[in-house]
Amino acid sequence: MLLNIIKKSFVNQKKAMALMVVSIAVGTALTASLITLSFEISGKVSKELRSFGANILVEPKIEGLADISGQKRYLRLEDVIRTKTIFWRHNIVGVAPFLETDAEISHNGKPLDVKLVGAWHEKELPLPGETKSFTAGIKTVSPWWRLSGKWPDSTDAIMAGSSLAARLGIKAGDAALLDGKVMKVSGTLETGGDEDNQVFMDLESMQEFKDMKGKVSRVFVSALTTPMDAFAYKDPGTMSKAEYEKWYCTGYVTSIAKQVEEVFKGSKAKPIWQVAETEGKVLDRLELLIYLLCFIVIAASAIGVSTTMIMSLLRRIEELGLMKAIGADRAKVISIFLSEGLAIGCIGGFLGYLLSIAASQYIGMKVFSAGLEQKAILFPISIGSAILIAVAGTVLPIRRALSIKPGIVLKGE
Amino acid sequence: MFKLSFPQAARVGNPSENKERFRTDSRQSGDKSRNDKGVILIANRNKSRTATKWFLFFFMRSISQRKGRVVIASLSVMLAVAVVTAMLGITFGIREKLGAELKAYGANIIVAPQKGHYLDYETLESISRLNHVEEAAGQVFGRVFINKQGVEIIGLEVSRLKDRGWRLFGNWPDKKGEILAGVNLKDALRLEPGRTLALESEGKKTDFTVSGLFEKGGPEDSALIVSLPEAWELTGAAGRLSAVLVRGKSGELESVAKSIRAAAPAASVKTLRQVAFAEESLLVKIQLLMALVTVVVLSATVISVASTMGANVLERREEIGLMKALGATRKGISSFYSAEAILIGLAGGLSGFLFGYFSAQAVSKGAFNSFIAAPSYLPLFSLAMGLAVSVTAAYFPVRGAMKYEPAVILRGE
Repeated sequence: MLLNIIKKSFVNQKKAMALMVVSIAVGTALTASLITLSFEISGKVSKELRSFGANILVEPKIEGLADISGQKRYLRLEDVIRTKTIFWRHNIVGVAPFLETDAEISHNGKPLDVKLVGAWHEKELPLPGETKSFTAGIKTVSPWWRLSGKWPDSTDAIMAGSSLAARLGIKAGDAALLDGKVMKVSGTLETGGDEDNQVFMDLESMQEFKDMKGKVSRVFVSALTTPMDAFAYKDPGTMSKAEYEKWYCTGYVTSIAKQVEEVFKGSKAKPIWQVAETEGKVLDRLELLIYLLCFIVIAASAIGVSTTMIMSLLRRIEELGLMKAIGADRAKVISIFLSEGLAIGCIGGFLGYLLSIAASQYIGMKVFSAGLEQKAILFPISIGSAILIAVAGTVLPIRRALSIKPGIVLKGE
Repeated sequence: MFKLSFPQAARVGNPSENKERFRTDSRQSGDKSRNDKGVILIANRNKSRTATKWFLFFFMRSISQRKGRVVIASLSVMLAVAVVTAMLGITFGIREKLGAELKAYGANIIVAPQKGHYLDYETLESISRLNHVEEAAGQVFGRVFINKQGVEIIGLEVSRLKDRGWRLFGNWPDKKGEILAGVNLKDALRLEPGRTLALESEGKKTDFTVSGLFEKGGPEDSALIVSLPEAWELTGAAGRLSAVLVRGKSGELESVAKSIRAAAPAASVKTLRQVAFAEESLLVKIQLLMALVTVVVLSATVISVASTMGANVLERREEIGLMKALGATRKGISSFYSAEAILIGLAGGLSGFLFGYFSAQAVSKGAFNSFIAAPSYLPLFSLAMGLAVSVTAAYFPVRGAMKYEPAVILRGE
């Protein structure tokens, strides 16, 4: 009997029922995709924040004042790929080694003392023990560098910083003398920083040219990190063994720096604090922002959907009046509305879940160029919240239905 | 249910007159009455007055008898408007908020003199007076000797370093004779906070106390930081600056750089692309995310408005049928329902603005710990949106209801 009534109401009131199901479905889809989003927002935003540039600097360890005032120490190039072997290796998203030395460049007889820098722009490194490779180089740590022309790839090609190029009057395709050797200028680069006055070469080519095989002056590392908290600021030297373990196995910028330091022979790795600090703050703020927005949006859509339910069900007060007149009791009235709410909630929730898969994939692709992972727990959440909202929408109509006097309603007064 | 009783209508006249009343809206008939003469004028004026009166009576009666429905309809309009208002407010405010967070990143424009020259202190002062310059600080670079080994010194206003995210071991210097040392010097000189350092320059030795060690993660880590006057004393070049670091308003960088170039024509002015790049790419993502979420929320809330308004009108098919049976024109009926939709739109738009504005402020306060400045047209926008949503939502059901034959509706079929 009850089933029959519900079936009939779905068949006879197609439009009204469809409207309720659609609004529940949209509300559920919205809730589910926002939950999916907030699960992953931290990871996604911290990936976006890597556009701030490298957050760890590795330099040769300083052992005496002489190291500061001029004497040169170097890191080993072979250690670079070992950054992908540390505990937090999956968090390392970029590595760029730099070799720096003095040189003299001249063009049309104008000699100039400059810094010669060897680096990779975009280089595939084979991962030890794996078939995959890892992309290293400037592009992975400093995406804002503006290159025009081609990155030099041979022992007789250089790239000039834009200010230097302007000063010397050289452009891509010209030839210049570097330490007396004829070099082809393959392009220019602009960063807004010191690099604009430097000369760049391919790292290995420069090592050969300057006879500095296997040497690297400094390495920039870009790593996904956990924002620093009070615990992270404790000095690792004063930690107990358990604390040290906890610190070492949390992705703080300091602990990742420590692990990077361990794989580079004779190195000192430091967080680049301006980047690390800003990143942590921005990440915290944005996460909070997204959570608050999700809350508001979910609340608003829940209220909206409930209103739709109320309005649609109120239209059927007359029907209920008739039922009461021919002998339906309170329990019957309640069970009719409730089971309709349940049915609408289930169907709407299921459709909403499907819709949310599409929506969160779309939003993920559009905003972060990567889909969001759909967690299995979302299915019960979707159905549950849909039923909750739908049933909440039946409360007011039920109360109205219970209080009506069949005679008055049927008379239409 | 709405009770149809027309006390005045019953007294005043026959159906054809009623038809006339519905057709003429008060403004039109007012114009007409001025053009006509004599008896007709009085009759028309009476007619128009009764038409307006009747319209108002009808309208007020309708609203007061259906308070609940009007409130629910306004509520759903309010939700739609509130969510969009909140989203818009935050989207506009977020640029400024993020900009403030990125302040720790430091300068985004560097003004440097030509090689071998200096900048005057007056240049710094004139730069800091320029538009959109949030902060301008001078720096002096120099070299001193410790045990005959050269060490870089940087002279700057130390108080400006405090929100830069640099890690400090020890204390900030707060009196003359106190300096900061980079962490690299700690390894090189076995330095601890509180130690005394003898700096040699210009042939004389001066003792300084190291109040703290700092770690920045950059070349500064090998330098000593002293106050500007002390740097001038040590380098023997009072009032001269080696660089001016400017923080310009994000988004206005190019125009700031341009006006600095005009103010200091001899210097080289560079915008640091790192900060601007990171800021821009992050903002674009966040705003895109907000826009997508807004669209989804808007569709969910508009469904709820449409269903509520639709239910409102459909419920009153009998009323429309009766009006038509009594001789109301389409225009009369539609102006009656438009008035209702406008009232709901205004109420929903206004409350939606207030609600949305306060939620935006609450979110901003929660996430960024400060309020946002919403654009001045936001209230107008919210009202307009409320009206548009409500009138559009009412349009289709009313148009549909007009098609019914009065007799069919009134018979209850």
